[in-house]
Amino acid sequence: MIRSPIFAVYGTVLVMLFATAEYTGYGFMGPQAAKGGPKTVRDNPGASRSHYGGIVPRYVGGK
Amino acid sequence: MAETIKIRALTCPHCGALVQMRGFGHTLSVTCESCRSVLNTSQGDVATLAKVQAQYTVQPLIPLGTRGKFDGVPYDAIGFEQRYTIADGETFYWQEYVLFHPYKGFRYLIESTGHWTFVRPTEVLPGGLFQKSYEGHVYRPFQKAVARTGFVIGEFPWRVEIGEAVTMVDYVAPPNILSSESNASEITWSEGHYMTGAEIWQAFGLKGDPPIAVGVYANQPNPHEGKPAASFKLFGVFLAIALAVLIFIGMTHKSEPSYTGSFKFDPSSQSDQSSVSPVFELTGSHTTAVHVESRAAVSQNWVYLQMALVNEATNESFDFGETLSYYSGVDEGESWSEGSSKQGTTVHRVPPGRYYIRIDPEREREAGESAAAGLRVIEYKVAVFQGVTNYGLFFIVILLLLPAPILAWLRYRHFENKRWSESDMSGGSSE
Repeated sequence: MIRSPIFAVYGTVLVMLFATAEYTGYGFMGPQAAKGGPKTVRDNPGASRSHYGGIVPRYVGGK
Repeated sequence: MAETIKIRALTCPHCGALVQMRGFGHTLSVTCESCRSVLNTSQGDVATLAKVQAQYTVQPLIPLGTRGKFDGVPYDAIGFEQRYTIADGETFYWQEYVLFHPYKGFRYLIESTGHWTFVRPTEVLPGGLFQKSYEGHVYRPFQKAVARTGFVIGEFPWRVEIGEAVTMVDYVAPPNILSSESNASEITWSEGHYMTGAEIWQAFGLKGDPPIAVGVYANQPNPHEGKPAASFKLFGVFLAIALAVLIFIGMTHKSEPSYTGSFKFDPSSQSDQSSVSPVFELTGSHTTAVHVESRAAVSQNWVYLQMALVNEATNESFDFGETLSYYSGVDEGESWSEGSSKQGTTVHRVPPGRYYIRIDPEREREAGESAAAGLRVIEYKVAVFQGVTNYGLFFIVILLLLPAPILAWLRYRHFENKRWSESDMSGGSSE
């Protein structure tokens, strides 16, 4: 007999979510998808600058 | 058919009232319900042990003469006494009922602050010195007190005396309790089992509600017993499953990169230094995590790579940047280094398809930096790995699972702490 049925259900759901997240490559942090880049970017890479926003901070200088 | 217990009767020598006796020849003392004299019935003639007992009267919750069933055996409640002990200047009372069955003999019910214990005499002497063992249970010492008899009514299998004092020691192994009562001439042992008021009311068929149990009693079973162990066991099972998922997902990943490329960045060049990789395939039927690893030959130098992983068909892009910097030296005889020539970013939930990477390197000359250092050509490499394991999620799952067993353990400990805070074997004093 399971003595902690709520924990059993909670843990099962959590592990299933974890398995799904690992399988589909889910993550809380990281670059977000952005749409609308120019079609010609491959032919002329410098024509479009990257999106500087987001959670990855841009480096502002060396030593 | 219910058993019929024959009732013997005698006349109170003090007031002449008829006194009923249900305990046959086992009853050694009985109280007159009329004048509350305590009578000695152990001799042929009835003698008065005490003419008028305590000034106060206590009404038993279980009326004397009521029959209750315990383990299928019917017992008659034939005697009642209230006892007390004085600890730290405070008087604590409890009630004891004498139960009788003509073949099984005497049993006792003890009620204290709404907690009940069904007690029977031990068949053998318990073993052990500090802790006691009896019938396979190990009992821990709980309290020692001098118990005095305050009020009696009914029949007793001993010569009961008002104010009689015995030294009482309780040992507990919840829901069981082992008690010894001793005076100058003898020591008696009894063993009890915790019961709820509802169980007692049901056993005797009493109407109304039993008194509400207050606090935690010495041998009250812990309602959280076994739950911490069960929760930690379940936690271990979930941990093992999550670990198996992690290993399985890791095994299905390709160890070879989907793309590797080498590039050069000349900060002194006036031309655009941005680069674009050839198109490469991210295979599969579902989204995956993609890890982009970058390495640069930087020593006493740095470079910033602004990158975008772009889907050729949809033009959807994942933008991110990496700073690769490495500096080292010797300061006051101590060598030091900081930064890394290798960095990586994981892009989550990337759909399968054809992709390319656009790289936009940046390096500006710092104030005080020599022209040679600031204008060195930097070689860098980029590698794309499809399907990487997210260890962070694994640790988040552990963090989300862990509170449940910890909470179960804390609740168990809280109950035990309340139980043992009543124990005078851990520092309290009694009369």
